[in-house]
Amino acid sequence: MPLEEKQHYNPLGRLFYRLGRLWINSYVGKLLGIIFKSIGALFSIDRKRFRTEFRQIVMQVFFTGIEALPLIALIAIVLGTLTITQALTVMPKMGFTDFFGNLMVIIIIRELGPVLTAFLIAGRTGSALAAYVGNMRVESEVDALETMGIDPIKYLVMPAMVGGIFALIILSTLFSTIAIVVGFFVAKGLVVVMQSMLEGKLMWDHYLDSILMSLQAMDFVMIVLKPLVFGALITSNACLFGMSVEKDIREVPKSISRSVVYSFITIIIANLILSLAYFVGYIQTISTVI
Amino acid sequence: MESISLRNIKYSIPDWKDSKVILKDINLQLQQSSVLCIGGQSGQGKSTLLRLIAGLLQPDSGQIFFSGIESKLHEHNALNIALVHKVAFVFQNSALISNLKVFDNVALPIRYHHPDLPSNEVTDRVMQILESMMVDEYKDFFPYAISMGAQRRVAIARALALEPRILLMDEPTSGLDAKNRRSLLALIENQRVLRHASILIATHDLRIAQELNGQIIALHKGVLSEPQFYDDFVESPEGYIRDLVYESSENNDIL
Repeated sequence: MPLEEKQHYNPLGRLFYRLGRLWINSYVGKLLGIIFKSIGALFSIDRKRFRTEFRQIVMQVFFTGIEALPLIALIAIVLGTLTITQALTVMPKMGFTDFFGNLMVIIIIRELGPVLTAFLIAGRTGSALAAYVGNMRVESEVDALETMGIDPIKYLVMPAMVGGIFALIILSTLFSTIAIVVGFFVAKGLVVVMQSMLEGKLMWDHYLDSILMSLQAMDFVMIVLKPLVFGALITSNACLFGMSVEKDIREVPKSISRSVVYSFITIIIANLILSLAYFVGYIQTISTVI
Repeated sequence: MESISLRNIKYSIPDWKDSKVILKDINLQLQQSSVLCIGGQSGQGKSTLLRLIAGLLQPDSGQIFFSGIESKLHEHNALNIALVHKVAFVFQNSALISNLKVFDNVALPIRYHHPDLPSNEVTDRVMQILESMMVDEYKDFFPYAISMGAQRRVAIARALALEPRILLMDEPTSGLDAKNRRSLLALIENQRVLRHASILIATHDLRIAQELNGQIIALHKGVLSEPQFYDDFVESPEGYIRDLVYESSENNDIL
């Protein structure tokens, strides 16, 4: 029994103490712990010292945002083109051409855009971050920071989280924009080439109007909120599993794989919660209007 | 005046079914401006003891004092120890930040803790430390691009950047050739004499104590021996101390 528990608590207190320890040592407890510590570090930042942390944030934005852009753009073009061409093969036959904008908003802007971007960043940047932090642990670099009086949460985790979130918001917006705009023109090209197979007509003005008409005010909130939550989850999972590496180099690949898997799982759960919240809010708004 | 004082320190690590005791009832005093070497076979807990003092590990029980002030268990963490008690640590593997150049590694603690310092003053201060460690020529190199001896010097330079009162060094001479070893010991002696730093060294190389005019204590089965100067230490009748001295002199003969 730990010394502090033995000394300070009666049986009921001990039960709560143990429940508390169980919560703190659980995955969710640790994940929330690292997120809240980072938020605390962000708000307790010394303005004079910001230069050191700002450098780390810029490096993270560069690595997460700029270097990942070609990959994000490619996937966005493919997804946009596929969605439009698939819709073209089915919707005109069923007489749903007017709902084209709704379909694009729901699939690209609300759901797949933020989630796919987050998955790509979790696989690319999250894994790299977990490996970086894990190697720093193995090489005692994190210990070295502490012995220099430098808090690893302030120096490593918080800048990675802020940079990751910032980059993900930009990338997610770019993903949706590229999927909708470039996807449209590629699909239009396909319609010209494959006239016999694709029946519908693609008019830019009509397409753009229907998308803009389908957008709700809440969509603009979600465009920022989803990448913000996903970015926090990706970077905190990467740092959590990277930091959990002890002194064995064989733990690093395990931490990378766990970081990616747990990022995927938490992103899916967070997306479900946010989409449900959006849906409930949407239904309530419609009921009020009716 | 005692720079560090340990009283009845116990430390164990969880085993698969029970816990394994690493340190039992450790008592140690390190006087100001002195050198104390901890000898011992591999796996006896020398590095663990240094890590405990640095706040990287928490003892199961006991008290740790820095300059007479107790470091309470709930405050005993590396950040506090470094900032409040001015303790610096030199790791066995140097532990330089791999994505920072040599210059930035040494500048990091200065920039972090003295954000008001103009950049030209930071540069001057870093260059002065690098020159004193004879590694100024590597300032634009990343750590992986320089030799182990140079990395060790940079690690010491970084540890000295905040002018610590206490320097904890884990195997500072391991893997160094005779020339590098000599110059490193001269640098350590400089720190003791010029800055009045207290230096605690975990090492297999017991000659360090003789060359730095310090004392030696042996760590064996979780217990520390009495501190002795090298000449008395080598005369000890204890079998494990004789083994230590034999191994140490063998290593020095190789060098």
